[in-house]
Amino acid sequence: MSTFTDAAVDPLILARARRGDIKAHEIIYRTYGGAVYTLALRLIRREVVADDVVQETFVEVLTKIDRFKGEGSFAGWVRRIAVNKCLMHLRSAWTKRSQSLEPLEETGRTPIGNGSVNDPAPEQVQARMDLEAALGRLPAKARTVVWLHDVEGYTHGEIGKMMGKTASFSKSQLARAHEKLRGMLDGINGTEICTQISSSC
Amino acid sequence: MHANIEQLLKIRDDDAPDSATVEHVAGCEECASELERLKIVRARLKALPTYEPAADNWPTILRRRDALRWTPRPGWHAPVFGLAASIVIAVALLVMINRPVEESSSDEYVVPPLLAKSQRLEQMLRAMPQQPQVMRAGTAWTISELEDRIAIVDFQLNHIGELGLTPERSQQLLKDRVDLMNSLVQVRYAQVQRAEF
Repeated sequence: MSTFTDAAVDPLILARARRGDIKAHEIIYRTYGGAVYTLALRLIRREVVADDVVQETFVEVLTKIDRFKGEGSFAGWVRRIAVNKCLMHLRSAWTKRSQSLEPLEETGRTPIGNGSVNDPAPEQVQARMDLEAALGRLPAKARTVVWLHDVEGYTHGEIGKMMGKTASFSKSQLARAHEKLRGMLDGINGTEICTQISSSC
Repeated sequence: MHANIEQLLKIRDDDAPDSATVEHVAGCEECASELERLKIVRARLKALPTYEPAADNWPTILRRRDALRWTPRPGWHAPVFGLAASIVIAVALLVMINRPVEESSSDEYVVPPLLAKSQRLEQMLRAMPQQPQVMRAGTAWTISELEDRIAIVDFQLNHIGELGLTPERSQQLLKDRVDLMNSLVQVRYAQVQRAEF
């Protein structure tokens, strides 16, 4: 679950943070650090880079907090900065080169937090792991669109703009991503992979 | 004709689906099932676990934030940051420590570890690979800022007598230098890691 929408910082804390109160800065970090890290990890899939994104995001948040004018939620502002940092990384030449060489590379990351480990049934845990694996195997652009749209709730227009593309690009990426997810999840479950629904309806 | 996945996603997301498709999906078991599957995938994506960042991120963020907040005073033209700075600082501090009279004796116990730390950080910096020819503007700016600040601190430490700096002030400058060097090592380390991809 995205924790951007689950946590809010008191306006008084924001006011203190604008005045440079270090304790208020830390409260902001503690409130949104996990959400930023999870977002970066989902999009980039590398712990070290995700930590770097967290650092860059909060350095920007804390040094530019006076520019947040209260238009929209503070959480949304933090998230937008984090998404831009992730996209900058994904656009970088180093990342592109790495992906072209290792398109299906596993992250090898170790979860630090436990998140929603309340799934009691083993099959649910397995389903979650299957979904994580399938998500990780999507191409970076498709994975980014799926996460930003289906989890973070951005519109296709917003995603297209952030990625320097159009809303149509976002829509087609989402559709292709779900096709691939279906194929991978069906494959994992041992059922036949169908890309075409029969016309007998 | 069945609804394709893009049409089903439009219905799922209530994104202006056309009424004929909505009608078809409502009466078609396969399409309705596929729509339900897409809803379940979205719900499962939202339910994936969250993670916590590394525990040492916060101190690093503070150092990087503080490094960015500093702005050079007008008129300062920062000299090139050089490794000789540590030698000059060592000499300056030696003079400072050996002042016989009224200085606080506690200085003698605080300064040597700081100096050692500063030198260790310089060694770490020297051991790192050369900076890439092309780097992100933000990183380049941060590195430049940090180097400028270190150079300014070095200048002051090199001219302790002329500037009339007290031992306390000199010690504070050295502390500042260690913090700045630490930030620089952190930024360079992150840069090296990024370049390894």
